[in-house]
This record gives sequence, structure tokens and C-alpha cells, in this order.
Amino acid sequence: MLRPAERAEVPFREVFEAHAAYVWTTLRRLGVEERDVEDVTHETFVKIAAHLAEYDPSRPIRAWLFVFALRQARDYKRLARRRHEVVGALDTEETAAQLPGPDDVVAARETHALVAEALACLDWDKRAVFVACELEELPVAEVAESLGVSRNTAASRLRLARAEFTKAVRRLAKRREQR
Amino acid sequence: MNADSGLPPDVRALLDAERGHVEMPTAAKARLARRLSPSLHASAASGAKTIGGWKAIALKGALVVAAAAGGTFALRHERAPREQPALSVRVAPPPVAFVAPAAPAPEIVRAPEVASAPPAVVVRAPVAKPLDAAERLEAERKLLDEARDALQRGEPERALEATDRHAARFAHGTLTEERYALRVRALVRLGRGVEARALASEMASRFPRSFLLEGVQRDAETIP
Repeated sequence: MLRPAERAEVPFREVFEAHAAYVWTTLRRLGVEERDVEDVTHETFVKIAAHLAEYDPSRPIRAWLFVFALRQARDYKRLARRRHEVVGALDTEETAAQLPGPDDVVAARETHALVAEALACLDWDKRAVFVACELEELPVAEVAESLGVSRNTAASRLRLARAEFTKAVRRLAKRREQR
Repeated sequence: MNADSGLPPDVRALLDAERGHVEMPTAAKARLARRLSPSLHASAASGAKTIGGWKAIALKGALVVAAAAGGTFALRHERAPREQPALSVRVAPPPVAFVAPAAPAPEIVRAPEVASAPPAVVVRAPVAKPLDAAERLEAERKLLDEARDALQRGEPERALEATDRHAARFAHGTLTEERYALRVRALVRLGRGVEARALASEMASRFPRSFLLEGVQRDAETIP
């Protein structure tokens, strides 16, 4: 590992421009509600700015950023922040504007909705490990360290999360077919 | 990475499709950029600054952002004690001579008179204005930048001195983790391995989830 003095500089602007959407999406996957995600993303980037000099560019930046998102989402859950009572219609319109071209819109939206709904069926501990390992493809050991749990605990949560997620997907898909 | 996941192929395919999903609205990104603009502009202006210089700017940006957000975010885990509490001395009978510590002439305010009692004299020593949270963090940052710069110049003794000053002024400051990290690094550079490891261990118990801990512990183990 490089000492800080030997590390290259990583400008915050570049990190924000390149990875804001990643942090936002990760926070949503980790259970931050749509009405809160902008504020939580902001808070996450304030922390990232404060710690950026400690980032080692020889390591993947997304794995590094993921840890910030993970901790922020954990704090969010602990605080159970619910600052807004109503979700504005703007959110839906804006999200729709981000989706792919017309031909893919329905499929992409359905896939995302299905995954989001299945993730919501997991409790936070399992959800965090599942998102980290299966969507972010981070090693279990690294995830365990980030969460402050043993590797065995993380592996066990992952195993249970996979089973629960699969079950949830089957159930939700079946329900959709019946509509 | 988790190929042996035990997930059925169709579920894995679902996750593969989801992995590329980006949810953030363009307008939200623009709003966030505005909210973070102090940090972003600082970054753009930093040019060829050193890591220390960059960190200084990043922290300053974070400060401004925190202040703009009500000062509750980056600074929330510390209630800043007053640096030098205003000193008020009430004595009777008057007059009283009071010498303020290392200060210009004291301001003498005559207190309201009380019946059947000699008038009291309130002597207030002129003191430095207490730092607000932002100024306090800025002061912390300056001290630690000094330590960091000293390390980069190959002067670990000076780095230790700067961290000593930080510890004296801000024993439980916002940047205490950073102080630990810099002290360990300075001790390592001075070849004081036992102290470095002891300090790293203390840091681990105080800040078990610190982002800096891994590097600090590794540094501490580099010398016998």
C-alpha cells in the first residue's frame, strides 16, 4: 500500500462527475428511499471529500466509494430518517428520463423494479452483503471488514440472502404473470 | 466474482441486467453539483497541489458544505467547547485591580448598584472570540496540514510537534483520527516502533471503523 505522500492526487470533481450516479444507485439498492436519496448522496460526497486524500489509487475506486455508501446507508437506517411525507411527482418524471431508449424502457424498468422489490424483501444486514457481493462483486472478506463482522458471518448472511432473494424473485414474477 | 454463488441462472441474469442500471436523474445530479460546488471548485483550482494541499481544500470545501447545510453534518460529532471562556470577576469593595492574562487593558463595566451594598465592579478580561465550528475545524486542519507537510519534507520531529499542538488544543477534535494517523507515521519515520504500534493500537480501540486504520497499522508494522 502506498503511503499518502506517494499517492497520486484524485480530484474530487472527477470523482463526483464519474461516480455520483453510482453512489446514488448504490444507496437506493441499500434501502435509502427515493425521497431521501439526494440528501444522503450529498452527505456521502461530503464525507468522500473529507477523506479523498486517503484514497489509494492502486485500488478500485468503486469498492472504496461503496464503503462510504454502505456506512451512510447503515446510518440512514439507524436514524430511520423520514424527513418528507410525500414523494413528489418530479422524482418519477426525472427517473423516467434516465431510462434507455423507448424499445428498452419497459424491459429495463421491469427488471429494475423486480430487483428493487426483491431486495426490499431482505433485512438490512443480508441486503448489504447481497448488494456488495452480488451486484458490486466485492470479495466477501472485504465486505465483512467494511461491515465490521467476521467473514463467516458475512458468508452466512450472503448464503441466506441468495436464498431469500431467489425466493422473492420467483414470488414476485409469478404475481406479475397473474396480473 | 461470486461465480459459485448458487444463484439460478435466470436470477443471475437478472442481476447482470440490473448491474448496469443507473437511476440518478440528471436534474438531481445538477442540484447536487450546486450543493457541493465549494468542493468541486476547490478541486478544479487545486491544479498541481500536493496531497496535503488537496486535502486542505477538500476539507475546506466540506466545511463550507457543512455550514451551508446547517453545520450539522461534518461537525456533528463534536460539540466545540469554548476556546477561552469569557472571564468575569465580581469583587467588593471597589475598586479592584485585575490583571488579565496576556491581554490588553481590561474593560471595566460598572454593574448596576444594589441598595445597601457597595457597588460591584465587573472586570472582564478581553479574550479571543470563541471559534465557531467552521473556524475550529479550519484551525484543526491547519495544524494537521503542518504535520503532513513536515512529514513530506522528511521532518518527522516537526510533524510530532504539530500533532502535539493539535492534541493540546483539540484533544477530542473532529480530526482526531487524522492526528493519530499522522503521529503514527511520524513515529515510524523516527524509528520509534514500540510507540507507533502502541498508538496504532490505541487508535484501533478508539476508532475501530476508521478508514485510516488499515494504513496506520500497516505503517506501524513496517519497523521492528
